[in-house]
Amino acid sequence: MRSDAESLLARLGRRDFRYREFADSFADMELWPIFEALLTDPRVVGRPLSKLEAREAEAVLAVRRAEPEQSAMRSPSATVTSMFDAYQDAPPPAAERGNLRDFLGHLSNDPNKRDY
Amino acid sequence: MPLILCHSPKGGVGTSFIAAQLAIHLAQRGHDVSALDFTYQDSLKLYFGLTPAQNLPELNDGSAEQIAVSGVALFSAYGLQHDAAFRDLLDRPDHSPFARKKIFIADVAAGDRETKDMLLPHAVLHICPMHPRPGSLAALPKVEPGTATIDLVKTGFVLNHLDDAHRLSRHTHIFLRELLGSKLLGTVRRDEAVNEASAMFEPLARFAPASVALNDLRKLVIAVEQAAGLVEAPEETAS
Repeated sequence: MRSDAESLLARLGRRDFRYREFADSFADMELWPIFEALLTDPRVVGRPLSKLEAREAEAVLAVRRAEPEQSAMRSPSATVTSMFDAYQDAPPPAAERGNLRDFLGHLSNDPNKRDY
Repeated sequence: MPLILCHSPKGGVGTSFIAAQLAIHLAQRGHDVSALDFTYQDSLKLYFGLTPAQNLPELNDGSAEQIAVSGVALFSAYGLQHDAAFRDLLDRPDHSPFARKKIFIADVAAGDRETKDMLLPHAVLHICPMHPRPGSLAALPKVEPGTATIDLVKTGFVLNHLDDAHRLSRHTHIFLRELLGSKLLGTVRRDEAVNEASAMFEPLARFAPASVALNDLRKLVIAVEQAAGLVEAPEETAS
């Protein structure tokens, strides 16, 4: 348990809480332009993207840029779904699974699950 | 024995703080630790509760009185980078001044790439602290020029000053977790108690035992122990 949470509960005299820390979900992340710049920088991610990968990356990034507008039109059920998705365990990091393509694929996965 | 090199291409990200806290927490976990301040600023000692006027003994001065705080032996090593004998030791193929049964934590200033490059071949682990800010992110390509950041084998990253109340800070954490994977060794949340402890010339653990940063540092040091090979990696449990 985090020490600040522990001391707060001790001060409140509450012992009937279940304590759990939640990692932020990948779906909670907005793709800031500086993230895009790093993802396409070979000094960060290694070999330059092939033409095909670059096209795929650009398509994924374009979708991500357009998503805040889409999220305003989400159905209530989608909002509930994304709320609970945010409390799931974080997926394995893309870098451990292989390459930039996985990362970009991860970015493009099921945009309805995102929670802005 | 191991040298752990703390250096970031971006200054002001808390490298000295992380170096000091790693040294203190490794010492608490039973390791024999020396902290070496290679910086001109000479501020590593503040995180041990020392004052600016207290001079650390030079690492190569055997006659100087030793200073140990929180179980860590403290040395100034700023003069060493231009010491011909020290450089000669580093250049010897089968010898290292760090080859002793002791852990050395080196704090190297951001702009001092020469010292960083000189020490890196002798380090078992390079810790690169970062801030969740654009300036720190933009410096990622400069961690080790010539090698892609995600391919660095000796480098572990620490996201310092994490603040979940700020959007960019949260998103940077997620982004780095995805980009760096297990190379992101840990995060340390922003806590004003860190500055207050230094201003009071007190170690953080004594000034603010309930500091959220301390809790994060306890987790971080376990990850550093494993990344540096100081302990055996835990066995994977069958699922």
